[in-house]
Amino acid sequence: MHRSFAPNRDFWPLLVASIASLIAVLVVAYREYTPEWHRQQEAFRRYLRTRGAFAAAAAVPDNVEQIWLPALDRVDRCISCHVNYDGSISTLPDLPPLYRPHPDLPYMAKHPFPTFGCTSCHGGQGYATDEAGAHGLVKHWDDPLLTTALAAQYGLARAQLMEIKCNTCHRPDDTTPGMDLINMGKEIFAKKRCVSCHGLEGGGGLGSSDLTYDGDNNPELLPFSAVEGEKTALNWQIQHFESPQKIVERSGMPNYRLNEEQAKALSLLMLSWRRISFPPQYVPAARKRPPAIQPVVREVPAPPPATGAPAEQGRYVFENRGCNTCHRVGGGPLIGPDLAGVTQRRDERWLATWLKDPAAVVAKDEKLQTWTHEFGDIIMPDQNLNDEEIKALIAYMRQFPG
Amino acid sequence: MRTRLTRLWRWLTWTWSPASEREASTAIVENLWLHWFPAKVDEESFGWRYSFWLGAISAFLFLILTVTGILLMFFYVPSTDKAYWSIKDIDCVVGFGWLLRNQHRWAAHLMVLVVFLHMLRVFFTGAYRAQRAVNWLVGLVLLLLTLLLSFTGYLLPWDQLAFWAVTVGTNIAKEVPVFGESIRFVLLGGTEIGQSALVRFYVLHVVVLPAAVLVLFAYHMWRVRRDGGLAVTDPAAAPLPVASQTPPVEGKTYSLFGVTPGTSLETRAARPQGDGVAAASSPHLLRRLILVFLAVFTVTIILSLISGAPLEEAANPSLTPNPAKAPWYFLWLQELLAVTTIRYKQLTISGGLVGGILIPGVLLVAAAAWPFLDRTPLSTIGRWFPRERRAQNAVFALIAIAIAVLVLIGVLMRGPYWQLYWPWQAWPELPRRL
Amino acid sequence: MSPVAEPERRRFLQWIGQWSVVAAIATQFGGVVRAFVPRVLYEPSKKFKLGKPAQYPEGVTFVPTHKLFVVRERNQFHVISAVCTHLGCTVEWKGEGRQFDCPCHGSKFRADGQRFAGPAPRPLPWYPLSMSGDGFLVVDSAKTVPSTYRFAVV
Repeated sequence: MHRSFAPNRDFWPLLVASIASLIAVLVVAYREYTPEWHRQQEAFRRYLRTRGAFAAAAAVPDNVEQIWLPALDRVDRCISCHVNYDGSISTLPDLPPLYRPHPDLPYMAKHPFPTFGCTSCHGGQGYATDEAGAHGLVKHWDDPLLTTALAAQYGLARAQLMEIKCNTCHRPDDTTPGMDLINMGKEIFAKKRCVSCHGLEGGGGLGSSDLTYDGDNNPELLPFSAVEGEKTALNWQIQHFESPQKIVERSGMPNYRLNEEQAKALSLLMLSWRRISFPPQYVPAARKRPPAIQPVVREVPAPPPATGAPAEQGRYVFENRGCNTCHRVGGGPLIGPDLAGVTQRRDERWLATWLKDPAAVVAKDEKLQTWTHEFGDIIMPDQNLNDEEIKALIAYMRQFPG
Repeated sequence: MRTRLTRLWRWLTWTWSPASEREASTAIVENLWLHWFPAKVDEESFGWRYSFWLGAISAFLFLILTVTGILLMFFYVPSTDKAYWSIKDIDCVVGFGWLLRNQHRWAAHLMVLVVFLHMLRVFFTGAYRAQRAVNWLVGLVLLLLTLLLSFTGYLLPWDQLAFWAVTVGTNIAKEVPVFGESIRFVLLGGTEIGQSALVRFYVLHVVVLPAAVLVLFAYHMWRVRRDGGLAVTDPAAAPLPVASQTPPVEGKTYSLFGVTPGTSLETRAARPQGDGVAAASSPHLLRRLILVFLAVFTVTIILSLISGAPLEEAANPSLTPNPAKAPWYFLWLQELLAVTTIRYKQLTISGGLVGGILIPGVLLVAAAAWPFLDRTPLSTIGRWFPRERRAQNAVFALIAIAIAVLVLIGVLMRGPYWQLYWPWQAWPELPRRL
Repeated sequence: MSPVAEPERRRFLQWIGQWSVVAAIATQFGGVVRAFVPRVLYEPSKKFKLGKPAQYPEGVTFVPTHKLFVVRERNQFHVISAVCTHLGCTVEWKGEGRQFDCPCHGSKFRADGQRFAGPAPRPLPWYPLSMSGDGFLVVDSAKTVPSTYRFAVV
C-alpha cells in the first residue's frame, strides 16, 4: 500500500460533503419508498390481520393501482388507496370508510368501473397518488372531489352536487332516474321558456346569452360585486336565479320568484352544461318526450312607424329599450301580449303604474296573477323606465287602436 | 494472487492518487480526463474568496441538468395532448420521477443565478481584460445560451404557465423591427403556439442548445488555460513571490496542438511559479472539484426534497391566467416592457420593443464592448475592488442591483391585472367554479 | 512543382473546384433554412365561419375558439379581436364598465377597442365580415377595418 506523497488538502470538507451527500440520497430513497399509498396499503393489511382475515391481507397489493380509460383519455389512481373499491379483497362488515367497497347503487350496473372509472362521477384528480392531489384540493385543478363538506357549503347533499357530473353526459335526457334536482331544473327550464330569450344548442332566442356551454364559462367574467359569500360560479348562479336584478345591474331577465330549491336545481343544471366529447359507446340512450312547440323569438320585429313627435319618441323607446323583443303592436302576441289597443283597454294612469313596476301591480291584482299563466307564468320585468319614457310610450301605443 | 491484484488495482488507479511528484505530473498527460487540467495549479487559484468557484459550480449544475434531463427524456412526450399528462405521470408514478423533475428545475434556476454571479465576479476582478477579452465574449454567449435553454425548457410542460410565458416571449421577438414577424414565424413554425412550436422548442432544448453550450464550454475552458489561468495568478497582479523572480527558463509548455517554443507572455504566464506556490492537479485540483460537485449535488437534492416543481392547469389558449408572469429571470424584462411604452403625439413605440429588445440589447452590447473600452491600468487585473476600477464597478453593481430589484418586485409584488401589492397584502380572491 | 511554375489552367481549375464546394455547401445550408419555414400550417384558416346572425344576441359575445368578440347592435354586426396588442394575452369583456381588460399588464380598452390605460401600443383590431352562401357570418382575420365599420344583416 502506498502513501500519498502530498498533504491532504480539503480532507475534512470533503469528508463532510461525502457524508452529507450520502445522507441526502438516503433521505430521497426513504421518501421514494414510503409514499402515502404504500402506507395506506400497509395499514389496510395490518387492519385485516387484526380481524383475522389473513387471506384478504395477502391479497392487498403493494403498488400503484389504476383504472386506465383510453376511450375517455384519463387514468384514475384512486384505487391505490381505495384498494377494496369493488369488494374484491374483503367483504367483512363494518370496515373503516377508506376500505369499504363502493356502495352498490342501482345505476352501478350501467356504469361499471372499467368503463367509467371514478372521477367521471366523483370529480378529483385521477392522476395523483397522494390524498391532497387526488382529491383535487390543490391549486390549478378545477375539478375538485365532490365531498359532503363541499356540498354542505351550498346547503346540498353530496348526491345532489354530484348531479352536475351526471348531467354532463345525460344532458339529452328529459328526465333521468336518480337526478331529482336536475330533473326539476329541466322541467322549470322548459316551463319558463328560457329559450325565448336565451340561445341554446343552435336555436333559442336573441335576448340574452347562449347557454349551450354555460358550465364552461370563465368564473372571472361573472360580476361578483353583489354576490354574498364565496366567489364561486355555483354561488353566482344560485343568487342570480333568486334575483337577477340584484346580481346583474339593469338585467332584463324576469324574476321568476323561485324558491331556494328551484334556484339550486337550475344552477346545477347550468353548471352541468359543459363541452365534453366521448366515443359513441358512452352516449346514453336519450330519454326524450316528444317535443312541444316552443314559442321563440328569432327575428326581433321592428315596431311600426309613428306620426308626430311624441309618438316617434315613443317608438324610439319601444325599440331601444327592448320592448319589441317580447311585444308586438298589431300582429299577435309574442312572449307578451299584443299591445295594439292597450290604451283602450287600460287607462293612462294604470299603464303608467304598470310600466313603473309590473310585479307590484300583479301582486295586488288577483285576476292578473292567473292571467300570466297564458304567458308562461312570466311577469314583465321592471324595465327601469323614467316618467318621460313612460309618457312617450303611452303616446306611441295610443296611435294603434286594437 | 494478492500481489497481482494489488498491481492491477495500482495500474487502474495510479493517475488518481499519484505517489510522487513525477507521477503527479505524468498522470495529467496520461489520463484522458485529467489532461484537461494543467499539471500544476497555482495556490492563488484555489482560494475560495477569489472566485468562489462559481464557474465550477455552474459547470456541475450543467452536468446535473444533462443527466436528469436525459433521464426525463425517457418519460416526457412532446405532443400537445400528451405533454402535460406525461409530466403528471413523472411527478406521480415514475420511480424517483419527482426527484428528477425537481432536481432538474432547481439546477436550472440555480444555474441561471450562478452564471450571473460568475459574470459579476469576472467583471469585478477585471478578469475580462487584455487576452481574456475573447473568453469574456464567449462567456456572454454562454449566458445567453443558458437563458435560452431555460426559456425553451419552460414551454415543455404545456401548462398555463408555460403557454402564456412563451406567448409573451415570442411576441417580444415579434417587436424586432423588419424581421420580427419572420423570426416569430420560424420560431413557432406557424402563427400560433401549437404542436410545431412544441417540437421545435423541444429539439432546441434537448439537442441544439446543449450541444452549442458543450462546444463553447470546451472552448471557454481551453481559453482559460491559454490565457494564463485565473487572473489572480497574473504576474501583473499580486506581488510576486521570490521564487518566480528568477529569469524565465526556456522549455516546454503545453498548448492545444503542440509544443510552443519561446517565452511569450502567454507561455510565461502559463508556467507555474515554482514548487512553493503550486499544487499538483492530481490529486489537489481533483479533490477540490469533487468537493464542489458533492456540495452542489447535495444542495440540489435538499432543495428537491423541500420544494416541488410547479404544474399549473393544462394550457388553455382562450383563457389567460391572472396574473401571467414570465420565469423569474425574465421578470425584470417583463417589468420593463410593462412600463416602457412610449407615446409621443401620434407615434407609439411598444414596450415590447423598448423594454424587451432595446434595453437588454444595449446592455449586452455595452458588456461585450467594455473589455475594449476599459482604460484602467492592467495592474488592476485579478484583484477585488481595486481603487482604480471603482467607477465602473459601481456602475456595473448598480445595474445588477437594479435588475435584482426589478426581479424581486415582479416575484413578490405583482398580483392580478399586474397591480402592485405588498408581499403581505392578500390578492383579491379570484372566482372559482365550485 | 512549385507554385510559381503552375500553369494558369491548373489554378483556374482549382478555383472552380473550391468554389463548387462552397456553392454546394451554401446550397445545402439554404436547404436547411428553407426546411424550417413551414409551407402548411396546422392551424385554423384565417378566414372562417362563425354562426348564423340569428344566433348572436344583442351586445357583446365572446367566441373563445377564435379569440374574438362579436358585437351586435340590432342588425349591425362587427367583430373585435380579443388578443391584446401588447403581448398577446386574451382580454376580458367587463360588461359593467363597458371595457376590455387585459389581465397581463393592465391594459384597458373601451368598447370600440381604443386603448385608454396600460402599455398596449395599438387599439384592438376589427376584422371585416361577410356572409356565406348558406347564411353564416364569415370573418377574415387576415384583414383589419376601421372602427366605423359595420356589417348590416338584412
